[in-house]
Formats: sequence, C-alpha cells, structure tokens
Amino acid sequence: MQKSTTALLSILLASSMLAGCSGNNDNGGTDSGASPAASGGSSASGDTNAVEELSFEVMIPKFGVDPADTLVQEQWEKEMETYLGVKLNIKWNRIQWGDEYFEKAKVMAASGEIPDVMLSLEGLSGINDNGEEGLYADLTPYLEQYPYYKEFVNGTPNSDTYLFSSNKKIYAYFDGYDNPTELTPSQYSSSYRLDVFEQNGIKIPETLDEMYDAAKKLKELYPDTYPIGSSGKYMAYAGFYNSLHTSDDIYWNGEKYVFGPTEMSFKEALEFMHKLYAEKLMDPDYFTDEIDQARPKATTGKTFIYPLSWSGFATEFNDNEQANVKWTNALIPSSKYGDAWLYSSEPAGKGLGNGSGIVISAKAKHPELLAKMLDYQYSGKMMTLMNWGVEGTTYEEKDGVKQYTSNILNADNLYDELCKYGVGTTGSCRAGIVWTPQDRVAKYTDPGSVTSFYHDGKETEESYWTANGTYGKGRVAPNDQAPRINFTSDENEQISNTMTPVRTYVQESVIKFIKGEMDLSDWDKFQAQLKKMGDYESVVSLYQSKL
Amino acid sequence: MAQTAYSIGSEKEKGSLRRIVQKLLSQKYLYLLVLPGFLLVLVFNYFPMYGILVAFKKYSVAKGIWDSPWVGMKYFDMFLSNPMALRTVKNTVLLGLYGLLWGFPAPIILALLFNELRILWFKRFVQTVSYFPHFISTVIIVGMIKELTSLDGLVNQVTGLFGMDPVNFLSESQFFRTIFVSSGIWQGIGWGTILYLAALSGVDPTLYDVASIDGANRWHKMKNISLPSIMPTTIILFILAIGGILGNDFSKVLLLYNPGTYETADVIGTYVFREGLQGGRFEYAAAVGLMLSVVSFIFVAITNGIVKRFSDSSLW
Repeated sequence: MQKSTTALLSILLASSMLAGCSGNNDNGGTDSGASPAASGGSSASGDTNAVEELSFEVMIPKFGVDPADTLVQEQWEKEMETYLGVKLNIKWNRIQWGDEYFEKAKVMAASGEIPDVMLSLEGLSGINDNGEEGLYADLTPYLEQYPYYKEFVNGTPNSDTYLFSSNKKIYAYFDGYDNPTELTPSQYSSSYRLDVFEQNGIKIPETLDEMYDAAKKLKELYPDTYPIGSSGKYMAYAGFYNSLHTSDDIYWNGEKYVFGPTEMSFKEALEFMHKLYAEKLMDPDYFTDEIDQARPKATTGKTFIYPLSWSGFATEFNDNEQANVKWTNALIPSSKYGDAWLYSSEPAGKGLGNGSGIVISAKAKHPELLAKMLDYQYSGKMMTLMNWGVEGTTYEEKDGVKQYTSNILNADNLYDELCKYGVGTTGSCRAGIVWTPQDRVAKYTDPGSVTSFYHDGKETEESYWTANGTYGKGRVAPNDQAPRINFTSDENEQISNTMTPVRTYVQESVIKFIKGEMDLSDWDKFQAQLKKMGDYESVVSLYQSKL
Repeated sequence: MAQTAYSIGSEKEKGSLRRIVQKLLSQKYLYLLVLPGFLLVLVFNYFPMYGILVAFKKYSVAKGIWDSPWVGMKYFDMFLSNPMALRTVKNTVLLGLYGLLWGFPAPIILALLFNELRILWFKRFVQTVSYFPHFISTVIIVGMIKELTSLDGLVNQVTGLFGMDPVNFLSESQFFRTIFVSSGIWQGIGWGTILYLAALSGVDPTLYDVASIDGANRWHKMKNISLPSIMPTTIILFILAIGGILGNDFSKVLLLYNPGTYETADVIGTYVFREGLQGGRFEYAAAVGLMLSVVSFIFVAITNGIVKRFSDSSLW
C-alpha cells in the first residue's frame, strides 16, 4: 500500500521537475518571446532611424515618494523623446530604497534575469565582473559617440582604473556630481549648546583641550548630566580621529596607505576618550545611541557637546519650540597635529563615484538608444531639470545664479513642496532614471541647509555646506582625496576575509579602551593580538601596490 | 508520464501500477487536497536545494550554477580558519541553548496555567493579549528594548530604587544573552501556547472527573493528567526546537548588538553578514548556511534517536 503511494509520488515529482527544467530553458534561451528586451515598433534590426517607439523596462529605487506624474518626470520624458526622436514607452519598476532595493537588485544580478535598464549597487568590481560575463552591455563604444557622459569620465581622477575594467571597458553610467565651486565642503560638524555655553561664559572649543575644559565646567555646573554625547554610532569616534589625524581602518595619509589602529595618534585618541569617560564627561550611552535616543537628551539639557554630528540635527533641535534650545555647529576642534580634518568632504569639479551605476542589459534591444538617453541625463539642460525643476515654476535664474521661486521658498515645508514637482534635490522624490547627476550647487545653496554656525568668535546663519567648505578650506582629509584604486573581486574577497576579524577586534577594543576594561598600558598586547587577528599588513601592501 | 512507466515495467509492476491508479482514482479528492501543499514544499523547499552547489563553486552569473568552476571546500576553509570562527560558533550555540533552556518550557507552563483558568472570557482575553508580541516586527521590539534598557529607561529606574548605579545594558556584553533570551520569551510565549492548548483540549474530561472522585487536587491533576497528555506534542516540538538552536533570530541580533557586545552577541550569521558586505558573496553565505543546516540536522537526528529509545513519540 505504502509502496504504491511512494511510487506515485515519485512519478509526480519527476514530472514536476521536468516541467521546472523546461521552464528554465525557456528563460535562458535566446527565444525572443521570453526575453524582456525592448520591442522596437517597426523592426528589431538595431537601425535607430527605423525605430518609432522605444519600449523598455527600468528598475530603479524610489525614496519614499513615487515621482511618476510629477512635472519634472513629464518634462524629462518630453525632453528625452525630442532628443532621441522616438516615442518612449517605459515600464517603470520603482522599488523602495533600502533593503528592499538592495535585495532585489542583488538577486536579479545573481540570477541573470535583469530588466533592460537598472541601477546596480554592486560597485565597480561587481559591475565589471557581470559586464565581462556578458550580463551588461559594453558602453565603451557609446562613450565617444555621445557627448555628455565622457566629460564626467574625463573629470574623474584615475578614471582608467577607477571606472573601467581591466579590459578597458566601461559598463555603467556611474553616480555623477558636478561641483563647479572651489569648495570641498562637508555636511558634518562639531555641535554645541550655544545658549548654555554663553550663559556660563564658556568658549566654544577650537581645540581638543578646550573641549575637555568646557565639558569639565559643564559637568560641575550640571552634575547629573553627561556633557558629551553621540548622535549616531557611525559618527561617534570619527570626530576625535579626524582631530588627531588618524582613522580606525586602512586610510591614505597623504603619502601612503596606513592602518590607523597601529598609529600613536590612534592611541592618543583612545586616551583622550578614556579620560572623558573616566571623568564621567562622556555619556555611558555613547557607544549605542542613535539619533532617536540622542534627540531627547539634546533637547532637554542632558547633552551639550557632539564631537561630530550631522549639521542638520542642530537646525532640527533649534526648530523644536518646546525645547527652546540653541545649538550651533563649528569646525571639528584641532589638536597638536594641527587643524582637524573635515569629515567626508566632497570634491570639487565634475566626476563620478564608482560604488553604483546604471547598467544596460546585454539583451536589451537598441542599446544605442538607451545609451544615448542615459548619456543625455549628464547634459547641463537635464541636470538643471533634475536638480532645479522647471524655470519659472520651481526656480528662477538671475545673473547666472539659480534660486527657487518664492512659492517654493515660502512653503510650509520646502522639501514637501519641491517633492510635488519631483525635484531631485529633495532626496525623497527623484524623477528620471536615478542616479541622475547631482548639481552640488543646488545642494549647497539649499535653504534647508542653513543653520547656526560658529566660527572665529561669532555665530552666523549660513549653509553648513558653505560654512564647512569656506572656513575649513585646506582641511580636507587626505583619505577623502585618496588615489582612486581598485580591486578585483578575488582581491575584495581576500580583503574582507582578512580584515573582518581585524575590524571586529578593533571596534570592540576601542570601546574597551574607552571604558577602561582594557588598559592603555597594554597597548603592545593589543598590537600583538591585532596581528593575530589577520595579516592586515598584507592588505596595506595590496593597497599600496595599486598605486 | 504514466504510459512511459508502463512500457518499461515488468508484468508484475504493471499489476501494481494498475492498483496505484485504481487507488488514486478511488481517493482522488484526498490526493487533490494534498497536492497544493506537496507542490509548495517541492517547489520552494526541494528545488532550491540545487542551489547548495554554489557552496562548492566560484559562482558566475553568466555560466550559471552548473557550469561555474568547482572550488571544493574553499569557502568552508575560509570560514573555519578565521580567528573569530570559534567565538561566533560558541555565541551561536550558547544563544540558542539558553533560548531553548528558558524559552522552551515557558509556553508549556503558560498553557497549563491557561488550562486551569475557569473564567472563560478572562482566559480568552489573556490568551489573545499574550499573542500580541508575536505580531510586532523585530525592529519595533528592538526599539522597545532600547528604550527600556537605556540609562533613564524603566529597568534602570527600577534598579535605581534599590540604590544601584545606572548601567547601559546594551553596551555591556554580559547582559546581551539575558536581554536577547528574555525578550524572545516575551515575544513567543503566547503564540507558543497554541499547540499545547490544542493538545490539552483533546484530553478526555472524564479523566479529570475520575481523578476528582479519587481525591486528586488541581496540582495532582495537572501533574498526572494534563502534563502526560501533552507529552507527545512536547517531544515533537522539542526535537524541532533542537534543530533551531543554530538558527538564531539573525535580524534581531543584528539590530540589538554593537561592537561593545560583540564578545557575546556576534553570531555566525552576523559575522558572515559583515564579512559579506564587500561584494555579494553568495558562495560564502551558502557554504556557512549549509554547514549550519548539516549540524542542525545532526542535532535533530541525535535527539530523535534518544527520544525514540525512551518514549513512543518521535519524528521518524
């Protein structure tokens, strides 16, 4: 009885498996019916002139708000149709940015079943690997053919290794920016409770020692507070590292690549933080707080100093009328090594970042038209549209200076208003095929970035971008302008395999040193253990060998 | 399909196949009922097993799984040879073991208590309330834990009443397992009672009546009737739970841990996640996943063997 049932089940199983297999063959085959590629209206020969309608599928992220039906999106399609001379029939698949998009994009690239155009987040080596394997279209021929993208390619330092594969091919429209200003600004600053500092006659710190003194005084005045707090784990220690010219990872120090945790300056940063912790000047929650935990402390007089914080938080705290607090931003305090480095500064000029980019499927029909379209996104005209919107409606230009129109500037919420039109600068509602290149001026002059900034003994209201860029001129961290080097996927594997235990050990030891659970007199032991965790020296040499 | 099978079968097999078809036809509706579930398991649990192959390959998208080059045990070596491997394995096992030790009996006790409740509406109310945490997403749970354990959170307020200094619990590695396991119990206790309550509802009420006549009190009845009657369910669930020891709630650990608690909180899943951040390394993740599954299966098999020797209930 049981036997016969089993036999039946196995037949059923076998037949379903066969069905499954044949399904796979269909998908993997060259059968045009199964291919998701464009169906050119009149012919599929690749003859551009013969195409009347260009149909294709796009998969890109959205950032909270779907830009379909916005003015900028409509305008984008209109401009593109005129420029390409064909009618566009686009099937948009906009997926929420974050894990949802990461997962989907990763799985799609891994399965090889990709839409005609998509944003790949695989980074240069991943994109190159998939390109060389024939998943993505080779864009090299279009680089010379179309005028706009190549300007960005040429503006990128070390572009031959930073953007191209080892076979001298380029497979993506990488993340572009245009910063025509001289500034190399950052959106991160140190932040202080200005009102409390002024009330008690305490100077806004310019050096680490002054920061220590200020914290000490505040602790005397408000004994049940911890003057120094953190507004996010990723920013917690970098302020001190940048002040003392070091890092907790491999970085470019201006001359060569070094591993920060082996440096004296790194030890000094830990010593300083340990002193703050031991004297109860540093919040015991320092190691775990994110902005959600930090916000109530910042607005109720529990925290007075952020060694490093996103500058916009100060504005947010100040706008909280109930809290009635006055925060100000300032440059990161200097140390015996001189002026502190800016944190995560942006370069000047035109260029591309190779962490992600738009790829075209090798199976797509009319890749030349898709390439022309994506190239056009890098033109001045389209960049203005994406970053500023439509002239007269969302922005106006006077003497070459662009500014949002009064109906935008006077709106209750500037970003919500811009969002209605699909202007990309809002961050949440981005029209076009992202990433569309950023006009950094739109960002630097964004009224939302205006905040309190303290410099040279006085407070002003200005954009934190320009403030950091202007006052912090010449303070760019060498690593922010490190030579653009690249690794093959095998090398990346080696790096992550070697460095993950090392990084893990560094991160947990940092906290132990600060708390005093590990004694700084055991520095040599720490160094010995670090070596045992992985051969970081070989990784540093690998970096060095790429120069 | 069936015809092909006929043609290659011997006379005897032909006869048995005919019987199968007859049987199938006579019970066709029952088989039809089984079919969707069967296909579901087949398609989503068995077919993907083909993908296990990538654990032994250098996976290339264009070549596909089968044609990608073999690399042998490279990715297994890679994991086992890293200096953090031992610690992550230890953390994974201990977290799972503590979870089982404290988390497994909890719903049984709660179910037995529910069973003793005589006021029906109250029983239903409490039961429903106890299910709630199961439906809250991990992100929210972790947010609540962060609030409760922060310096001015509820836990520190209570310990403060006894004169203790406030502690940032989430950055102290010695508290991580306690926080993880206890919040896990809170999350799962109500939901976990469902199967036991179902088993309890199947107990013949006359048994209780008879016991009462013999002078048994409620404690006696619980010990001698309720508990033994849910024993088969308990055993099966226990064997399955053993299989889950290595499968910690990865996302909850990831949200709850930080470098300050790596020492006790860094489990295999989170470590591999951090290492895999540089590039989507399917092979590595597949190898580690396969390793965990094999070990889990061995655990289950051993437990099943032991249970089988001492009782009538077992998985196979």
